[in-house]
Amino acid sequence: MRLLGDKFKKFARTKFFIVAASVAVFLTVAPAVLAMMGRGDILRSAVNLVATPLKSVAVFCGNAVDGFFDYFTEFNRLKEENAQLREELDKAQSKNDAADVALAENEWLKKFLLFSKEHPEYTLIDAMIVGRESGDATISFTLNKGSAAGIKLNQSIITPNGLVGYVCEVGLNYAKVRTIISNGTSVGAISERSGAYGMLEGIYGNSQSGVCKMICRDADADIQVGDPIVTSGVGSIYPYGLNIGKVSSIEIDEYSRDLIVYIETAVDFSHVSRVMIIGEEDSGNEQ
Amino acid sequence: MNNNDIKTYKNESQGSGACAPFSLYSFLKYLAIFGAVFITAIIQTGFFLKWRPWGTSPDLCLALCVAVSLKWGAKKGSVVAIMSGFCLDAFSSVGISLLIPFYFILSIIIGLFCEGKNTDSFSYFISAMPIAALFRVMIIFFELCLTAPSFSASETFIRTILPHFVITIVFSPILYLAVRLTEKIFGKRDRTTRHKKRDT
Repeated sequence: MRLLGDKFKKFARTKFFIVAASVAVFLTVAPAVLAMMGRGDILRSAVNLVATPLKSVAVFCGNAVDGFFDYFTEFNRLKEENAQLREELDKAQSKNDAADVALAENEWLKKFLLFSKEHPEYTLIDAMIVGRESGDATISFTLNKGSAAGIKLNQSIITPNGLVGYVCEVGLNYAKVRTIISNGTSVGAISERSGAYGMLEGIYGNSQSGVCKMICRDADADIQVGDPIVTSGVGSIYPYGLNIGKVSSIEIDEYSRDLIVYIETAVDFSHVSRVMIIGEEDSGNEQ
Repeated sequence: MNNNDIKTYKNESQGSGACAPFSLYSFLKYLAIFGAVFITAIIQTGFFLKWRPWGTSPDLCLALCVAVSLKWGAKKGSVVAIMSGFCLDAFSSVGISLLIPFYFILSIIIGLFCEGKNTDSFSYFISAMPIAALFRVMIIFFELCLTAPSFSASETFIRTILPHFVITIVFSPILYLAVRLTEKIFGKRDRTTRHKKRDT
């Protein structure tokens, strides 16, 4: 250390050291003084003028290397982030699905409410279809409510669009429905326009099409294509005025000379999922 | 080269203080040295701008100063030190910086310490680098104390001081190899010239 000190003292007396130290002090202090005076540092500016394009190349190369290493170092982080985002996406999708369900329920309840207001004489019970017949999905349904909710045998089943069928079996917490398009059911029906009367039946083997037929004994009955058909109220099941559908075509039976009116039902039996059961009527309108 | 040649070579470049006659070759040599310092500073501030191993950029200019001082002595080392400090200040510093004085003094100390010794080997370099890096991080710590009085010493040590120390040492051999390459390009002619002068 002493030897080093002696060497340093000797070196410090040289012309070179004095010049170099002066330059070092000048280059250290001058930029700061110039900056305090509000003047730009000419030397630094000159160096940066030359260096900036080269620095851009260096930065580009550095970014490329960083991107290369990111492939290895960021992999685990990206994997975790991916898993977290997937989870968030699943939650968001669930919320979205729940929102869709809530929206559909809201729409249904609006129609339910509107129908209730239009028919204040009816007591309506809301139910969902939870099962269908395995052979033909449009012939009969199972509902998620039964006698505990006030459902009884032979009560009419409707949707805001029209008539569905009637309750053919009821348990404590379920009920079975036979639709109007199933073979074997009959519904008293009339044309809302002319009042022409007929008996509505399902078409055997054709229930998927949602078309049923009404047989009018009077061959001269005033029925036209497009006429709205409603329940006549005749019989003990369906009250008067429930919408069934519209006349799609008319033909005459060549043997019996009966008028056969084909009706396109207002309800889409393949896709119906919620129904209303007409409960006890408030006014005395027993059929 | 034997030890006497090395001694003569170093003494002639350091001890007397006499300057060699200026020639086009010398000018080109010093221009090349400045260019090398310039490029090193650009790489340190530009290349390591985004890619920062362990969150820091290595002090390549420090390694360059140490390598030059060990190889060519205090004079050349101090010139390189001033150039390095100036370039780094120009590229990244604001206001007054201690880089130039630090590099200058460090290069002179290393150059004088190695005077008369054969410090050409890599082992000398890799021994000197940790000491230089240690002094550098002490300067950084000192600057932090001046500019940011309230900081967590342990956090600073783990996040700034230790990474800077380690990464500087890890990348320093690259500069050693660069200096060796430069010596191969220019050193042969230098040795021939000095031998001729000695003989005359």
